[in-house]
Amino acid sequence: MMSWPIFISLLPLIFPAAAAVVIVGVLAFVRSHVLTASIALVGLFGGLASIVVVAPSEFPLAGFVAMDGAGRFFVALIIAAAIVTLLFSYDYFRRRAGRQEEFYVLLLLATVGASALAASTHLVWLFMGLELLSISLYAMIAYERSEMLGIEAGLKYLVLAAGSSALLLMGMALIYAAWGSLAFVDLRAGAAGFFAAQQSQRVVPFAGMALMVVGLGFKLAAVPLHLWTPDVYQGSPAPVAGFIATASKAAALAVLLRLSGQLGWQDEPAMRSILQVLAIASMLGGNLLALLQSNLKRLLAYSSVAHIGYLLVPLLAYAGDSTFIVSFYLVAYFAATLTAFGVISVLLPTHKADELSDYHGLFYRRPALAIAMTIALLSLAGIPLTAGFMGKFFVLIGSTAQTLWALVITLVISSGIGLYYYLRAAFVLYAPRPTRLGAPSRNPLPATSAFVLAALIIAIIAMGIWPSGVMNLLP
Amino acid sequence: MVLTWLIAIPMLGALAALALRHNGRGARAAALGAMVAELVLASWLWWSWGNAAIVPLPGGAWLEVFQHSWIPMIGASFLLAVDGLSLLMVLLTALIGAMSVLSAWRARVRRAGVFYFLLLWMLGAAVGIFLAMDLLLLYVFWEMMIIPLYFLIALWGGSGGPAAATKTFIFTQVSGLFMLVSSIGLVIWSGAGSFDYFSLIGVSAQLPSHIALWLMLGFLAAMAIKLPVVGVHTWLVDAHQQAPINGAVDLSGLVIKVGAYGLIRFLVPLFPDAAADFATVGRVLAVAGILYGGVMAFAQSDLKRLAAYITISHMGFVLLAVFVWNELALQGAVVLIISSALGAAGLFVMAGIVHARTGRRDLANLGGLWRTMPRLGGLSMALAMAAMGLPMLASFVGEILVLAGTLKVSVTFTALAAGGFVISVIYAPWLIQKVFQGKPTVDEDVVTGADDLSRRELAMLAAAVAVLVWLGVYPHSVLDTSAPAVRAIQQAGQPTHLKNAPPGPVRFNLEERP
Repeated sequence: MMSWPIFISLLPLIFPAAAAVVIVGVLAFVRSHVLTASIALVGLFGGLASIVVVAPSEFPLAGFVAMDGAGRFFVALIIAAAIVTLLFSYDYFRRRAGRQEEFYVLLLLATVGASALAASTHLVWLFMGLELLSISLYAMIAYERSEMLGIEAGLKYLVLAAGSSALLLMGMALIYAAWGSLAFVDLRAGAAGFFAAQQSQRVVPFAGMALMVVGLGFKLAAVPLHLWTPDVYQGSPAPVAGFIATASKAAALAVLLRLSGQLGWQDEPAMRSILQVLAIASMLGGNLLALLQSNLKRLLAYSSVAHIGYLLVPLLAYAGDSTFIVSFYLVAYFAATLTAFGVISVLLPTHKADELSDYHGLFYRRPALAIAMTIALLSLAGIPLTAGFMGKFFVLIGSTAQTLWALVITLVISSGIGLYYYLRAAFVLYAPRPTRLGAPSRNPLPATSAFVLAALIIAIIAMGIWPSGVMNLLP
Repeated sequence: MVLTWLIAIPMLGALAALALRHNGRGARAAALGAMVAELVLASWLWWSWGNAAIVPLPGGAWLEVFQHSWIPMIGASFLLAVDGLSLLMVLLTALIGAMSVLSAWRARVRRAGVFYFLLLWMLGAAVGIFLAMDLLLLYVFWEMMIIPLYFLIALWGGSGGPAAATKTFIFTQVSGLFMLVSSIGLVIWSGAGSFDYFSLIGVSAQLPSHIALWLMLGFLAAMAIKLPVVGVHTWLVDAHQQAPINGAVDLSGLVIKVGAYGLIRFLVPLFPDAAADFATVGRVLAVAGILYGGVMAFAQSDLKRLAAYITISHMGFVLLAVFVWNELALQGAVVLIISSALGAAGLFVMAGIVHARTGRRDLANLGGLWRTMPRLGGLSMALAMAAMGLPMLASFVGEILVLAGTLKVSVTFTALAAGGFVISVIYAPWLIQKVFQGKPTVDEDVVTGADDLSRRELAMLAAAVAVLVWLGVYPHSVLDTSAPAVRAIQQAGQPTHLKNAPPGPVRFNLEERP
């Protein structure tokens, strides 16, 4: 029986899901790109609006999915990312051949999956959300069936994601075997016993937790589980790559954050070392490997790996404000990453814009896009007056307060390495010798994308100068 | 509120230049207008405020404070304050900024609007550094200064511009992050709960000494690289070498020593005990910088690299003063920051003019320019004399005060530092001899008498030389302004074991006037 309060509280998930169903129905009669995109947009906005309606305190399904402060925030963030992705995709696919309408169904389902994952408080919900997200992503990555790289990327993601799901399931099974429950609430009790237990009794739950971290770490693309990232980013359509870099990672991070709060697994020495290795390896590995890239999408892929490293730091420094730090950082990271992929997706359909050399002198052809890209890159690099700096600053506060010196030093040094390639990419945009792009373009930018990019840039700068405004909205 | 204007005027000028980007003349006029307005405002404040402390806050003799809430949750606010030291630095920035805009006046800069935007943005950030009294705000301005510098050197600089710019950026940015981490650590562990300078003075005494030392090193990394201290100085030399030839960027981004100011204002007052523990190492680095900079200056063949090493040598004296930490030496450091900046600015403008006229900058291919360019030669001679610390010129006053201050503490370091004078007597006349004397290597029809200084260039160089002479003859015009501030800073930075000790005999009374 589905009672009324349950229905209300699930509205943020129901709206996008319903929009997907409506689109499938409509497509049987009318094929219209703009109509489909509009329905999807209405569904997503409905979901976003209904988050305001959901009261955090009286949530009846708390055992499965929690729309508490953090849950609401992550679902809102994911839906917002989906809206941005949708608007970019509209301009992107509009200018390409082929049937575009089904893409929106996949995007909506992926959003539902990511939201369910982010808000889950039960391992079954967690797995369900994860699979819904992954299966939609397989198809979204390989959506352009004429592109060889896209097919390759889709297949790679399919195989590796399926493998990581298997590991995650195995981990859940072991945890269930040890503690006899799948709900986070009960796991908490199990974890409390775990820390008191003998060494010999720790093996099974420890293996379970480790396998779960591996499964989620794959979604996060933390080093050494990042191998799929560059190929998938390069092969997928630019808006989809943006969606993978943001929504999909935020969902996995939300789960990790909730598990850290519930299980306190970062206090267990062996688990702590695993997380610490993941964080340090991601920071250094992501930034070092990004140095070698000549393809902008691959560069952004490694940059996102590095950012996951930064985001794991507040998990290790788990304290009352970790959720806040992660949330702020994610908002900043979302805005910058979506801007970068937005610029690529605006450019990509009209001319090949993949290699860094294709961006030579972009400023003299498309000044607005070059400036947007510069601000996004500076924010990712963590330069003051952008949101990225404030994010990094809060991470530093959290980790310095807990005296995690290894992490702090790694963070500082790897940011220095990171600067090198962000600056190189930014410099290319203004390089005085335009190779392929000669005279200034007279074609206006696609209106929707231009509007979204402007909004994102304003958000980046506003958060960098006046973070208090956003801080009040965060959990 | 007037402090906000000091920062806002260059930045508004920057935006105006950007808005006029399709009109190169308009952009440069906007830039010059902003810097002149800044100079007028700063001079007026200097003239009208006097030097009596008005705001009773520690760590300076504060003339004006402005505070606005910014991020209350973490105790960061938009906090600006000015005392004599900051005011002098702002004046210097305005003067050098105006020179900097003028030095590129006829250079036909490509994309002038963006160029002047970046230039003025950098100057505004420099003023921000001198006024910010909130450590987070300080870091924001610190970084804001670096980004335009990167683009200016990378896009308008020489063929090695991108590499030099990247090196500059990474050196300064990473060290800046260490400063940020140290600020956070200081705020959190001392329990001050706020990033404002006034409430952080003295709190490091409550920290365990090894922690205070590490935090101090974070600040030192940022300031020492920016200064630069020998060992981490290579970025500065490369940056000067690759900066646009007209010298505008050298002046506005590199010559104004925010690192020196940071050492005096922040490093020692925030960590007095740790700095005292570190003093010997610091003095060794300082003396090494004085001697090494001088020797390396003599070894250069590129005019701009030579000038860069001269400033490194001068900054050694400033570092020595910081790790001697008495009022006399610090007053000397203040004069030296000003004189070194003006002298270096003059030398970089000179190098730019020589390059523009002859197309050369390496000493091996220059010579005999005096015959065709006597005015440039004469003023360059004065600048070279200033670089070697000839009496009656400002740097002499600065260096002698630093040495006198050092003498109170250590004879050895005084003697070693005085060696810098000896070396400067080698490189400074040698520079003039190479460029202006000897056989002319450039054909007389390439560089004719008509290529001597234009009125604009003459005014710029003459202004720099005039200030150097004025301060050399009557240094009290600056020393009086900085004295109360320096005294307060010096007291804030006294290590704990000296704080309660009776004052020693006064040997040099700076208050006394003939």
